[in-house]
Amino acid sequence: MDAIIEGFSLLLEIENIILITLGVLIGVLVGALPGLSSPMAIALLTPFTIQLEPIPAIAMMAALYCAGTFGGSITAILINAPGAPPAVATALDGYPMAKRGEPGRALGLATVSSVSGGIISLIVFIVAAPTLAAVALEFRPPEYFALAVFALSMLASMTGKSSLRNLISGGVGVLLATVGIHLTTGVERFTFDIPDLDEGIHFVPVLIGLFAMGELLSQSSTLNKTVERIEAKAMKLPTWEELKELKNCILRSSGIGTFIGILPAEGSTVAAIIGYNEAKRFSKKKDEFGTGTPEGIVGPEAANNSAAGGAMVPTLALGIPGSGSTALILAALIMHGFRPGPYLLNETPEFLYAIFGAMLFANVAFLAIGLAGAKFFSLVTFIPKQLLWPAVFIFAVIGAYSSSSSFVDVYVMLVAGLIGYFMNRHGFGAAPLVMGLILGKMVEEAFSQSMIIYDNNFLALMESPIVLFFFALTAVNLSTPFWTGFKKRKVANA
Amino acid sequence: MDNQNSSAPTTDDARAAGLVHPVDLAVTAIILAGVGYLFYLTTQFDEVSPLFAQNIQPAMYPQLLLWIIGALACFLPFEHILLAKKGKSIDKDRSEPVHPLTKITIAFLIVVVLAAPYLGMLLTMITICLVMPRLWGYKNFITILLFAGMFPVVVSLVFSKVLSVYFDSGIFGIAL
Repeated sequence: MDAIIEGFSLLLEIENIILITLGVLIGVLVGALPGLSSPMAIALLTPFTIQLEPIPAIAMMAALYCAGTFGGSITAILINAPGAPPAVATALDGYPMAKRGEPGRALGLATVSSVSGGIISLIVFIVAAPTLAAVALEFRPPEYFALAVFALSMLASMTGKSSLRNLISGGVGVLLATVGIHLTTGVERFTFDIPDLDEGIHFVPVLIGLFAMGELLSQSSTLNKTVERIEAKAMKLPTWEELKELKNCILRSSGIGTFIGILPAEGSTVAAIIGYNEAKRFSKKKDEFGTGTPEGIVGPEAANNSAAGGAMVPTLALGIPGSGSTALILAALIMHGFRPGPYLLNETPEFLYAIFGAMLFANVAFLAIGLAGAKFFSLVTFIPKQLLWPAVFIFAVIGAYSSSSSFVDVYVMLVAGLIGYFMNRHGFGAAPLVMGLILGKMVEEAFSQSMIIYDNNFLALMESPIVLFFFALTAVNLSTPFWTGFKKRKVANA
Repeated sequence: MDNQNSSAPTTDDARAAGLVHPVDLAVTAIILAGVGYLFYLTTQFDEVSPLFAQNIQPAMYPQLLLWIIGALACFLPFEHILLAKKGKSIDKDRSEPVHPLTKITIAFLIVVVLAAPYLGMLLTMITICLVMPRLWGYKNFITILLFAGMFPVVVSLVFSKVLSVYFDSGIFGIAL
């Protein structure tokens, strides 16, 4: 009880309320602007939060994460261009509804379902995170190693062009985490005699480069694309009758989204697509999907926002990121000197409640922001890309520079951006690389400790049923892309 | 774009028809070259006594990772076959050559970042705000001037005064 009071009291400080509100506003703004995404905003924000107290800093990022997921629906509905990938399915029915003269109604449906999905997932989060953390307290290095391997294998089913490329990206991320002085032996690895690399790769410039600079370069080839914009004068909340009709769809999608969010590496985009498909499957008006049906908006929106809450469960309870954005939050936690995982929740339970409170606040704030600022956010989409992206570049340079007041970090950011652009062009995602980078240290530590425990006998790891369970899940996960392809072929040939 | 709408086979189709994807073969070669070089570096790592290393030499784990990455990369040239059967194309984003404006932008970013220590942060920001919109074809010069005049000043003030970020003033010594 003390932890709950302490956690919430932290949020009641005026300075922290301002920071979280700022996080929500930045999140909605970033989510609403096509090309800008919440991972990018979190990456850009990270260096500036170093000077803040850890809990408000992480609470601000968590609020931004929730808000960014919601913000993407604004542009999906008004200009048929999802501001963020999780809103991709919202555009399928949101835009047709806006086009037929009901943009306010579409925004209202998106907002209410986002808020509902978000709150439902937060209830699951507050119950599941401490429970999972309590279970994880029993984990020893072999179990952690197996869990981390399972989390990395989940990259195979992460959204992206190919499972194989996601796994290679993740592997490169894990390899990057080995740069620096080896903790057990004190031997330098891949430092190239550069003293700045002794402590390992600096997260901030790499994250900013991969997410912001890579996207900036991609945007430079899409400047000539014109989009039709629909102006929304005000948001129109759904009626009570309409909500009663959509209740089941919202609940179902929230459940799906929360579950998918909890799975390591799976994020809001997968949740939104499944939420949309399931809404269609259970609908009595399947034929109306794609023409602007309310279920086609609330299905993906409830799912993608609930995935945001779900993704925080493994992130905080196990130290395993639930999505690309939470991988960045995890990086920020490490930079603030925390060791994410069950011990964090066990030793500082107020932390959990502060994050919960911040995300709850963010979800309620959507409603206010949506009601008061729908017109403003619809106008935001009119900002020319030619002015928006130089501004992003400036923030990227300052963000990379300010982490250690060194231009070397700006060079690292630029190189990471160039690599990120070409990786993306060839189908290798930035998010798997970042997840590998974040998990890398944990994998190596757990692996080394396990080998010491079992005297270098890898097979002895299998003595633990938990290890066996995670390895079995890993095997299923890695083989899934192959057997689904085989199954599809069989169906096609039949 | 036109050839995608016609019934004639596209370059993607031609690649998909073969066993080995030529672009992915090149990508694999680059990855394997990198893996080979890094593996060589791991052989140069200092060795520590077995007692101290507790059977885990510093090179062991990176070498294991490099083997895995290398092995996975070997499947890349053939992956298009599996993806094609799933109805996916890996070539969607790379079928067109890198856009000329992207190349110009890359060159500009490199130049401005290399010049930043000499220009200082404020002048670097002004340069970015003046040059990049023009490079990207923005024609309203008054807006560009207003943007270049106001945005860097506001950003400098917020970051240096409110967030206490130290901004290098460069060789010209210009800072707020």
